[in-house]
Amino acid sequence: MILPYALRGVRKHAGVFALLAGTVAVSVALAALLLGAVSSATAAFVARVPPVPLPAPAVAFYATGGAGYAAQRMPTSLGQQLVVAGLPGTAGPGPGQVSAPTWLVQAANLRVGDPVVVGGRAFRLAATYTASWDHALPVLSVGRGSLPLAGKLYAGVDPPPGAAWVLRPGTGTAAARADLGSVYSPVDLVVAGVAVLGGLGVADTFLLSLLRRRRQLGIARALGWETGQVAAWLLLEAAGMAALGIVVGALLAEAVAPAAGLPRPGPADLLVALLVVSAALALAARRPAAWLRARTVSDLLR
Amino acid sequence: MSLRAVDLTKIYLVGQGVKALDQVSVDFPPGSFTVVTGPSGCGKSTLLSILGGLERPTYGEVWMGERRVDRLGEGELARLRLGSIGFVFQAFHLLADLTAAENVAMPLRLARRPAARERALELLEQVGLGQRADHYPHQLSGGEQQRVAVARALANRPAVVLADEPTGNLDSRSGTDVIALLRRFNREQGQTTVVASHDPVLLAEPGRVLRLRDGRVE
Repeated sequence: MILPYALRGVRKHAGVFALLAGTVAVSVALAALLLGAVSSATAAFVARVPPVPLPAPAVAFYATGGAGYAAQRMPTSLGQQLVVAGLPGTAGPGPGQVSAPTWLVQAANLRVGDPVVVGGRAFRLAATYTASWDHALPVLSVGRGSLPLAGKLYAGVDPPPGAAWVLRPGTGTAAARADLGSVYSPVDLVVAGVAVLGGLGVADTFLLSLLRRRRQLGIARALGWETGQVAAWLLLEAAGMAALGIVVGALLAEAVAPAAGLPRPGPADLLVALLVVSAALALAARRPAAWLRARTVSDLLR
Repeated sequence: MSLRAVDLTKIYLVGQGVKALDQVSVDFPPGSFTVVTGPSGCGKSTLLSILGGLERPTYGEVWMGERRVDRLGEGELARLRLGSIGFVFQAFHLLADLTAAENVAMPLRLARRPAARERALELLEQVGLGQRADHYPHQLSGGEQQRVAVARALANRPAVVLADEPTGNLDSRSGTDVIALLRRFNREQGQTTVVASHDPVLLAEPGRVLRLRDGRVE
């Protein structure tokens, strides 16, 4: 019963939505600039970190209790090199085995079952995992704007081509830094900031639509809609707008991210977007719901 | 269904408090057609709003048949408005996003009546707007919009129809049409009808007139 009215509202307010999309686009541009600034600042900071000698020989994944970090220098298509961290918890599945991010495996032209030399010791590649925006990438993102990082951290201890270093966590600055990066990278902070801005935008639109349509709500109430039904109508409408926004945003990011040198959005990003939007809607709906309840139908129609 | 107000008093808490209604007691027998009139600010609109459950009296009682309605909860009040009361407002109050037919069908759908669209078209036919069913409110003249509003008010076959200055925003010819419609439905279907108005055309017609002044019945 309520859904068709909500959908109609979404259609009707596509203009407002376009405005909102414009605002979001501008904030994304600002965020990208900010990101650039943060990442060069990080690069400058990291460049001052003295080189850390690696503990050698390194330890196999399974032996580190599942919280290992693999580090490898990989040539990218741009001819640059990246430092790659392994995903804590997805460590080697068993003695003599390792797992690696899918893209890394593909780039190295490996297959599951292939022998891999890690830290001078032979392992078998047992599994691959998809790393889009997971624990592997914050380390990458620290390295992205500051590719000399690889050279700094592993100066003088270059692994042979196709091989990887494995570090025990907690041994030396390198591991500590990787640990830090996996929890809070500056990119995460910027993304969180943008997400919060987006959430505020959603909440704001919701409040505006409520105030602008005070009379419409009054009419609905006069005709026999209950307060809960009116609230459901507005929430559905806002949720529809938000869903549209998430889809458009994801498509935009998919198109723009590679050019900007940013990672492409993964399922985790969509989940975060959904959570932020739901939270924003839930928060935004509290006051209006009380506002709506406190008003008589006559008040709304006035 | 009969509609009864007992000692209705409404005080708005603005500044020192304004008494919009002062102990108004009035009985609208089933199927009656009553015009409530008086100078602006005399409490006509307030009386209709309270009778229709759009707001609550400060003191006094409202009875619809054997049911006291001023004490009903918000949910029950909403269901009462949906099933038993039809409103017509001065400013039409159609939903701008919906076509004429959808506006009329909306209360039907909300009440989960079958064949809502068919019934809506039938009602629009009855108010002479069969051709305009798929037009949006902004594509209709004021008189046409008000006739859609009348059709919408009657959609769920309410026992009571309340019209607050239904001709106030209309030219005299459209106003006459709307009044004729309200009269006709009252005669044919027997809704208890209360119209607030100071339209001389309406006052010149036969029927009961209730005069209010400063919130009291004259």
